[in-house]
Amino acid sequence: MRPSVMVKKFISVAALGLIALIAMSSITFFAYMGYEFGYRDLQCNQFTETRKFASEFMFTLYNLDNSADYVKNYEEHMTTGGVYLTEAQYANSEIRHGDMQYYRVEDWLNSGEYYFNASQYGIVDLYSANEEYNDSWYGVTLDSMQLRTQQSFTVITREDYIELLLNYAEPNATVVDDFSEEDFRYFVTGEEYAESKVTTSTEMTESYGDTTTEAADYIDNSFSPNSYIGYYDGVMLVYSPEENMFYSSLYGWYTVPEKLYFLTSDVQTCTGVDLFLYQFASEKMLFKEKVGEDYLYYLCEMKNLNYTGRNIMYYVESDGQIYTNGSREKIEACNQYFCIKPTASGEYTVDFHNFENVYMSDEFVTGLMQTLNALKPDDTLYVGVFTTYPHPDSFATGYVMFHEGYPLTIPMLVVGIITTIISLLWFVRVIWTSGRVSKEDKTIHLLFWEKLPVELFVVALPISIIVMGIIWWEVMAALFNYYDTYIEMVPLIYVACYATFMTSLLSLVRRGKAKKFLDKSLIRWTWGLLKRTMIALSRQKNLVARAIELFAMYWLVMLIGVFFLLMDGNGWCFLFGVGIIIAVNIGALVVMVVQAKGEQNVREATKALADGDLEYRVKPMRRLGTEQEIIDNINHLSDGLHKAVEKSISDERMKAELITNVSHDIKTPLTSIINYVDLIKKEKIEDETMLHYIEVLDQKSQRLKQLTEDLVEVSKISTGNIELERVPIDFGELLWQALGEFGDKFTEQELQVVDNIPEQSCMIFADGRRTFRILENLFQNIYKYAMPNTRVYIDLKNDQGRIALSVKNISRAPLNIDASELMERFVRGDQSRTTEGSGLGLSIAQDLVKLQEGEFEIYLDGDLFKVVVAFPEYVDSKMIEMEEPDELLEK
Amino acid sequence: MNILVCDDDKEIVEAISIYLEQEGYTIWRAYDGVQALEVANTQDIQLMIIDVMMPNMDGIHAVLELRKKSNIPVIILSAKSEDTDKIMGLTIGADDYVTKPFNPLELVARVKSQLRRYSKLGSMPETSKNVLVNGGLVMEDEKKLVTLDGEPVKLTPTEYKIVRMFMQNLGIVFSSSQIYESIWEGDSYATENIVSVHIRRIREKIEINPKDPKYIKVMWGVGYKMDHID
Repeated sequence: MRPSVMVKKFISVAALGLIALIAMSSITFFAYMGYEFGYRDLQCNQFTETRKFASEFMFTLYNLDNSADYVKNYEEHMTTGGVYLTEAQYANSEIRHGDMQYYRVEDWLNSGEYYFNASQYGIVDLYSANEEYNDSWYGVTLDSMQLRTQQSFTVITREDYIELLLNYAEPNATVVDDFSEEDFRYFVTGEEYAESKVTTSTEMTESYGDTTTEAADYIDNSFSPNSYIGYYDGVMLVYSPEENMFYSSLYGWYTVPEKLYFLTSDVQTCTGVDLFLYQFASEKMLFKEKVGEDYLYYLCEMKNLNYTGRNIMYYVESDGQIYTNGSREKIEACNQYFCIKPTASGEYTVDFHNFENVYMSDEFVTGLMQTLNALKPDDTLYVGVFTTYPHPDSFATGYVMFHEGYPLTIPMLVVGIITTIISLLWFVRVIWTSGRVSKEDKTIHLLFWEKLPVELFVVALPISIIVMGIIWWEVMAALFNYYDTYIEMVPLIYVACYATFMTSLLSLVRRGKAKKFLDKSLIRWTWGLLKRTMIALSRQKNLVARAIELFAMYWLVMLIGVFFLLMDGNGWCFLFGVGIIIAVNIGALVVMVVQAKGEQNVREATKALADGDLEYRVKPMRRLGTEQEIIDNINHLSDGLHKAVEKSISDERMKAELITNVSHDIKTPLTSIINYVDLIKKEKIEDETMLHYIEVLDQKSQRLKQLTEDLVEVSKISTGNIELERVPIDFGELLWQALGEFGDKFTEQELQVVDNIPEQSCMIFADGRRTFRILENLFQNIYKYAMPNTRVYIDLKNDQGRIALSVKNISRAPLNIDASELMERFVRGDQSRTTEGSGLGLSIAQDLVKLQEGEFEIYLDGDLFKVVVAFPEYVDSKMIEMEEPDELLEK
Repeated sequence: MNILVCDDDKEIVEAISIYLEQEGYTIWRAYDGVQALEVANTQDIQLMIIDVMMPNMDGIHAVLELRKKSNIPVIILSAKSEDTDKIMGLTIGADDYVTKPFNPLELVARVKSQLRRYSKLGSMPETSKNVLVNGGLVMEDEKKLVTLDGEPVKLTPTEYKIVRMFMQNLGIVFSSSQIYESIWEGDSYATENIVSVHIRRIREKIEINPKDPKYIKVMWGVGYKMDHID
């Protein structure tokens, strides 16, 4: 917002405040005038003609009548009535005697709450009987003394109290006992003071301030050296025995009667010195006198009756007694008065002087009649009013008000209505225009105090309204009841409150219009702090540090809870503390459960992973970051493993495919080679050398063909890329079939087969074709490498569920290599590699055996070559059932 | 007799042509599936030898196309030697499957076999009680005569008994000992070898490739059987 706009706004708001003030003032003025004067008073020319004058008159008269009644009644039962005064308290400010007022405070219904009796003096306030608040009840403590009983207490001025004390103490006096030294705070004689003055006065001044200094100066000038001077709780007290006078920095000067009586059980009689000393005694002991409460009232009512400082004056002559606050002559000198005289017949003669136009309301007449009824025959009542109003009482106020304020009532009303409407419209406009979208950049500009938390304004708004309301009420109450208030401070407070109110309101409006109401708020800040803390915690990589931080946080909150718990044993704080502790523990439980669940998941995941379930994934959880990280890592691990395994599988497959494809690509040219070599062979070639060459070509091409086929076979088997069709087969039958196939070949090599094959079937669970391939390879091996004209031993045994075939032969070439080496691919018994064969035969055989869960062993012992192939016996479950009974019978 | 030889490798086509021409066949050459179909459509072809992996149109598609119009024998000649390849080839309508590198004599024998069967279809001798027929194999029991695709096969009396046993029990598996007991009518002790040797010899006589028998199949570890052939 530009400065000029701000200034405009400020002026606008200030003007609004002024107009609103005028409106409220006018309305209040109108209301006040309406309260004081009636509609009827509009036609009056004189104050005495108004309703206010009449009610004021009656009110005073009624009070005087009450006072007179009280005084009269009290004097009648003075001899029998006992009153009690239990405790008193000092006050420390001056009160003019003319301002004397007193309140009777009663404990209504024995509820422990004290109320001012409003019926007499119109001031009502609430007062709690709780001991702690005794000193602070409204408006009285500092200005007066309190005389308390169990049921009520009376407040009178201190002068009256002392008078009461001195006059009334005597009949109920008790003797002062000895004081203990500890009761005396500090005191010196005047002589000692004079001696020590030079050194102590500074100290005293510092200690007790101006009062002490003044008192000390006074003493220096006025007192004999024999005076006692004491300081007690900031109060300076001096007793001069020669003059028999007291000086107190609280009370000023007062004389002491020759004998002073204290009325407690501890104090009986005492002199002025004793009284002085007694001031320094325990506070509790002081003034535990039995003083009649009623007497206090009596005194007060007497004062009321005799009070001359008012514009109304009365004169009563009754039974020869005269009650007056002035004299008959003075009343007759009044501008307006009336005189009532009852006649013997019970009628009254009322002599009005200048009272013709007094507003005679029903209330007035009734009140007057009550007063008249109290009069006896021969009594005379004069009541007069000084219509020049020389005394500053409510008559005088009313007079001034009528002549100066009252004529303005109607204009003020008009002003009030107009300004109210204007201020309302203006208020709406101010609200409407604040937080407008800027024409320059189409956004709502926020002011610098919109950076302050919104809660500040939310709280300030109602507080400022309430404070303004209270002050307004106070001011009005003071105006209506004619007492002074701290009115000097009001404008300042009002301006401050109004500024706060408008600032808060407009700030909230702007925030609301900008839709940034909670942008700058304690709630959001707290939430952000909490969130940041949680995020920081969740990102804490160091788990030990995190555990410690969590623990520290837990105890921080716990301690806050305990603090509230202990602060107030059984109130809201206690509940709040308990709530915090329960909440933080629930939170801790939640954190623990979440962590445990995470751990559970992690454990299950790692278990699944260890068991080889690479597809298993940990369920993602809404949780603190570290566990999520573990879960992610585990999932990554699973992914990685899964991919690695898949890749290795696909690599193997690709390898097998590659070999297959390569062999296929080799096969095509190989076909041509073989075919054309064959064609060449058919040509009639005579050349021996050429024939030999062709023979080599033929052999090698045939071998290449074999090699290619074996290569494919090996790659398929070693990658597990073949499907086995396993069925129960008879290994013996297979062996016979194989031998049948190879019979001619063995004969060709002059190999004698010595077979030992059991007659009964040797069932194994295997793929017949593949198993034949094993035997074929073994027999091929024998055919190729066995020494011609030797025996080949073939044994098949069923050795306790293990079908084992052993094939033995004598090698043609020396076996100068290791058995395990022999099974490696492309390794052949003859190192020269001249003979036919790929060298893959044994390797293929071994792989095929292993694939079918069999055992394949090669033993070399000199030239003896032995192969053992073993398979587990296949046992048909049906056959077992059939065999079992036989076995049982045999046993 | 016109034979169509189709292979993208011209040398292979040439070699096959040499062998078949020596046998007196007329050879038509093609180097991809499209050419093969053109020749088959325009010429009077009695048999086709076709490679699988060729440019433009491969052998499988060519056979599929051919089979829409013609039922001449087709021999697939491929370097693909997997079982699945063979099954595929035979399923789509080929009559035989020979893998590269092939034995020229075997190929010629297969060609002859296919041609014999093809040319004699419809002129089959009427089957009587004493005539057993399975595919190209015909056994006239009264004459003690066995012919394969019309050619007489010389069998020993034992071999003849074994073949007759199989032809009378098509699809039934006999173990070595069962065969022995039935033919030799004696104890089977330690004589299974005799049966397997005999069967190998029979196969050598009636099969084109004894290692890939068509009629008497070896159930390894179980026994032998003869399946029914159309």
